[in-house]
Amino acid sequence: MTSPAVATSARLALDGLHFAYGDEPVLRGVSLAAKPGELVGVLGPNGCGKTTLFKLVIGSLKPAAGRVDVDGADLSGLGPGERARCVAAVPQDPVAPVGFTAADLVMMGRNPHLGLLEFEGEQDRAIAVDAMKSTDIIELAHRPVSTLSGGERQRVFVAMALVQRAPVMLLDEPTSNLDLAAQATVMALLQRLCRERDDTVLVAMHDLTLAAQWCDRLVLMHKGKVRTQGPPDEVLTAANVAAVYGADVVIAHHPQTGAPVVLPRAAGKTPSNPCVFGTVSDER
Amino acid sequence: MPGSVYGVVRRRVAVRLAVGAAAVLVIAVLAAGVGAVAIPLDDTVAIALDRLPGVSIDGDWPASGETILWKLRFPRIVMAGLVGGVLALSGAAFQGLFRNPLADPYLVGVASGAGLGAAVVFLTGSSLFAVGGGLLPIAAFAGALAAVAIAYLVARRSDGLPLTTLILAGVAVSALAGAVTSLLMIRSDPSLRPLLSWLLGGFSGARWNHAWLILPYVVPGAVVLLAYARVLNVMQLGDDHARAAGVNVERTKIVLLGVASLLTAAAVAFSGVIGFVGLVAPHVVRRIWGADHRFLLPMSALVGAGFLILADLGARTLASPAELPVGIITAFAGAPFFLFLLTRKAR
Repeated sequence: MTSPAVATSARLALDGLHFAYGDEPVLRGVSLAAKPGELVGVLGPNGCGKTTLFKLVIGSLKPAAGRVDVDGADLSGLGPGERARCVAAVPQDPVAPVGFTAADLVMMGRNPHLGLLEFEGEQDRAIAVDAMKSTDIIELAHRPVSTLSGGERQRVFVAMALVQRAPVMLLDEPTSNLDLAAQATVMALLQRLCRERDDTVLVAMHDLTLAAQWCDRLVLMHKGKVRTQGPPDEVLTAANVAAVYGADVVIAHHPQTGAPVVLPRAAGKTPSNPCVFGTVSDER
Repeated sequence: MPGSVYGVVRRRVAVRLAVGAAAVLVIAVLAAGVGAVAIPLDDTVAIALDRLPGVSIDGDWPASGETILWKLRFPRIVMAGLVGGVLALSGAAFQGLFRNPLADPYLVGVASGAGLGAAVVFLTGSSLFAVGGGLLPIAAFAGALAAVAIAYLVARRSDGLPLTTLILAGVAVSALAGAVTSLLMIRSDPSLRPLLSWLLGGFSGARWNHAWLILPYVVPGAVVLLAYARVLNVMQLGDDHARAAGVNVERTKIVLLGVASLLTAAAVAFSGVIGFVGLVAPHVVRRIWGADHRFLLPMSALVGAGFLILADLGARTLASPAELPVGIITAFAGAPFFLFLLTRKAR
């Protein structure tokens, strides 16, 4: 899928995106780029513009200014089908429609590849089964989606996005309603998709620590702008978190990976054993 | 491996649709034999087949039987089947489009618009009855489409069509048209009865040319709705997710709304406002076989066709020699069955 020329340049490039709901500016010049195979976490408090940003990339909203490029091609001129072959997405809290099985739902992802009166063929079925295997939902194939757990459901939606065979995938808070184990499963799955398929995945997240453990790069948004982007340990500093979230935190490091762990500051206490969380860097 | 996940499904779907179509045909043939003059089954089949091109059957059925079937019962059954199929198909499309199980083909004003159109003709221009069913179906058709058009124009926004607004606009337009119809009825009560029975629907006046007149709407309209079946499935995920999966959401809304309304208006124009078929038939199919619109749409049409043929059989035989409005039968038979269905566990 990746030619040498593409591999060196950005897979997804957002350039100066502006958007306003009426007179209310939501995005005020957002630019970012993601390479093939990169898992990018998009962070920021509620209302910072993450969901609006995703809607602009999907094409649900039109930017007032700026452009969205995938593999160097502007998406603005594309029809819905062509766009869906470039960008797949799982929105926040996706609807699990009653009366459809997991296999039905996954196959819906082939929609942008099929004509109006066309039925899916052997190749489409093979792609869907492949996606169900790599998301580990093959045993759930005939279960109604509405009866699945949150984590199982999220994997079904990821599989559906996968069969669109788009080089870019967006997920809006895919872990926010999941338990600890399911969160890790979904994040590991996304990381594996980036590694194995060279897909570019953008994930909007609220859990800073979870994002830091799995993402290659983080984008911290604040009031409709990108405040900072880069490797997790450069983005998740106590100063950045304080500026964006107004939260007083200390940054620890994962004892195995060294990835940043964001913790609320306990007022007036000194640690009895600072080594429990590995190293705690205190840089207020 | 693909076989075990997806393989058997499509064959099973084709078999079910074929069985459904055969069942409708059997219902139609059996219904044709029943009436004031009973016609034996073998005669009915022979009389029907004899007129097919290239078929000639030697039989000694009475000429009166042939006249009754071809002049009265066959057109009636064909119209009931067509209208039942169209209402159920449009109902299924509306329920899918609005993602609302309460939706029926009359949701955005088709029924009350048609009713008002019919009332105007009944109460002012009854002398204008003329060729091919006359002014009545034209007025009902125009009224139905005008009501939907008004609701659409009110609800439309520059960036799309919000469906909740469309439903509310449809409710308001319906109420307004219904009020005007009521006013017209109260001010001229002598001619009220035929209008009332038209509003409740029926096929007592069904003619072959009615079927020929609505077929140009029914056939292409049904093809378009069936073509959008897969897209309707994806639309169940909500506008944003559907768009991300490559659906042209706004175009889909307009096409489905327009085509389903056109189909319903064509059905209502000759048969009156027959309730319950468009609501119940898709529910029956969905609760038994699931919600995949590629099966739901055609199967709903078959269920609706069979159901309305049976309801019309009841309408012309239960109070014979009098006619009952078929809408009363559909409600009497459909509502208890629907209630029973609601007590069962959905698939």
